[in-house]
Amino acid sequence: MKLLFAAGMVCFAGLVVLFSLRCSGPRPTVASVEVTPPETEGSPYVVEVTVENESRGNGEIEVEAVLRSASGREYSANETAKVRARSNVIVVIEFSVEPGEYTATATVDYPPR
Amino acid sequence: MSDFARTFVREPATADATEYATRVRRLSTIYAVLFISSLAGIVLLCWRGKFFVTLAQRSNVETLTIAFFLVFFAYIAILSSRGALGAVRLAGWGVLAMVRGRDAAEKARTRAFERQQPREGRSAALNVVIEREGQPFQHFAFPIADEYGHAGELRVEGARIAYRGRGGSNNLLAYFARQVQAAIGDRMPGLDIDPVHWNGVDDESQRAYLGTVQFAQNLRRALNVEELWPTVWLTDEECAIIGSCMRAVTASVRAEAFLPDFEYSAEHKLPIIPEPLGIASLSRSERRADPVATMGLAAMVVVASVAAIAYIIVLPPWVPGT
Repeated sequence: MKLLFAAGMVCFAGLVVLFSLRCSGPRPTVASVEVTPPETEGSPYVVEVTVENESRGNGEIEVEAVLRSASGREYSANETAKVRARSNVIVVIEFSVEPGEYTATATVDYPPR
Repeated sequence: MSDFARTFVREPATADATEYATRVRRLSTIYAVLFISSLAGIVLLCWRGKFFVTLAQRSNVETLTIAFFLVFFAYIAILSSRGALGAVRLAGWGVLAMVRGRDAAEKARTRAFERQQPREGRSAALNVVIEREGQPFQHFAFPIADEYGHAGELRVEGARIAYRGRGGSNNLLAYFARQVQAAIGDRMPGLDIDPVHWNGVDDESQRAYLGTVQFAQNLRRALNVEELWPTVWLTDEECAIIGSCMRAVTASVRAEAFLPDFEYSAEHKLPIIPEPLGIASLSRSERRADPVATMGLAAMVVVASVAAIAYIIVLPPWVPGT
């Protein structure tokens, strides 16, 4: 009886490990956010969000960037991207806004909403 | 299978007083685990609510499942709250026993026990009539008491056994039946003393059964014969042995009074062809399932659910992209 129980537990643990290795999704985190002003007049501001995935899983993520002007005005946009296992991906989001000083923040969600 | 059901589901820990005390400790741990893990489940679901709603919608799982789990955890938390409080009190007296000694802890627990409201009496119907040798038709009782005080008594009224006091559970009645069996030893070979109807689980069947036993007893009196219904006559020595066994569980009966006594019957179903067809299924039922079995199983389900929720938070599963 005890042997059967132990064998069952080992099988269950094996299945959990197998599921973790083969069926898990990504665990994305924002590594850095950079704002690049337009080089020519009328071009959009570009926010580059570097997303890190330390997980063995891959999948689709959703990045939301918020661009904040010096006067406190906020613009937000989101973009989905695919991220592979244990890799980084740069998500580029463009903002067509008036010229000025801007800072940006970003959040990443998995699964995408 | 019958022994398994008897040992783990129907009448666990009835062999001796040590087993009985272990059962009470196990039951208090189960209530504490149930309460804490169900609260943990509620906290996890509320903390990562958006994540779970998104995951449910992206993976074709009904979002209402999350609400079901919230209601389930809340129900279990409410159900086990009194038991968890009792477990904390018992743990408190355990700490007191380590700090000031067992004597001080037992006195404190006895004082608290005496302030408890008397419980609805627990009773069971045995498959045999029990009488003292030379005292036919007479009811008798075994006090449950130790040097710290009185914790009730176990009354024997023919085929009916009943506990009167502030604590107790149906398992105490099963413990008594087991002690009677042990005390008579091989004197009545082939006789298996067993509770067959339980108060609090199937009261109506118990009353109907005891009515039939009473009829047999009345007929026996009228016919003036020694036995109609199977009867066990206990000698004075056997009564002394049983009495000491009942006194040995006094502290456990006192401890048990601080834990709720949920009495259920149990049914195990194994669908061969599952619903909605449900053409064939195997099932097995027990008239009584001890709280250690029912609440223990509930604790296993709740802990497994909370572990699965935590696992999904730490390692979210892959879902298809847009």
